[in-house]
Amino acid sequence: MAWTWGTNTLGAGQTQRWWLSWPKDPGIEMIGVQAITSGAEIDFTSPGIQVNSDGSVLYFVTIMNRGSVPAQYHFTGSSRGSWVWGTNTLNAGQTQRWWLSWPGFPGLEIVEALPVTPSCEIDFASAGVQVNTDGSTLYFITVTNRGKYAVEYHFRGSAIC
Amino acid sequence: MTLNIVSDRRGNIVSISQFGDVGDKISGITTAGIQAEPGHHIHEIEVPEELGGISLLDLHKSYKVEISKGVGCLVKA
Repeated sequence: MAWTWGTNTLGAGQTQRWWLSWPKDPGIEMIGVQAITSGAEIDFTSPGIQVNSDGSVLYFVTIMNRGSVPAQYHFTGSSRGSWVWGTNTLNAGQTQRWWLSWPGFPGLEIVEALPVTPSCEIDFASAGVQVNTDGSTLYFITVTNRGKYAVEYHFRGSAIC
Repeated sequence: MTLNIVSDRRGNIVSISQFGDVGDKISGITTAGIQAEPGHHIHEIEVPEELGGISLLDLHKSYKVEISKGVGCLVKA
């Protein structure tokens, strides 16, 4: 389900790290920005997720205004059904580069790391894809535990096209 | 239960992974892996039944990897 949320401004050259909170797990979320100010480039990344002890879920979003004038924007996103794979732990401060393998090309997979342990932020980035000679496909994902404690998490994803 | 465990040179656990679909939807993932950082070692360890009821996070906090005759096993930290 697609959504658009908030109306915000950001000065030229400025970067802000946001957190968007849901009262419970919204399902896999793809989050971006709808720029309103013409001619202003707004860069965005969604680096991570945190689950809190009350069940609320935070998605972190970093916004940068690369333009030369203040810019206005909305957050925009979409949630959808997803698969959940693997149960993993990772020490505080550690980063691991994973590969997930499909027997063929599964389509464009959006993959995230969903924390199980409360109050620990897990950051992730899907760095690339590789097709092998046997037709199998690897998706690479880098996972970082930004919390102070060892964390448990799952991979969660969805083929969007 | 087979676990994929990354440890440092001293056997301290960096991560534990149990592969496989968790939810109702099928991912289609056949296998996966971790590219070990320098100084880290990857172990595929068959965990004894008596440890099967312990959560991965509790295993992570309470155990370490010991190599015996080239085979890794979990021991109390």
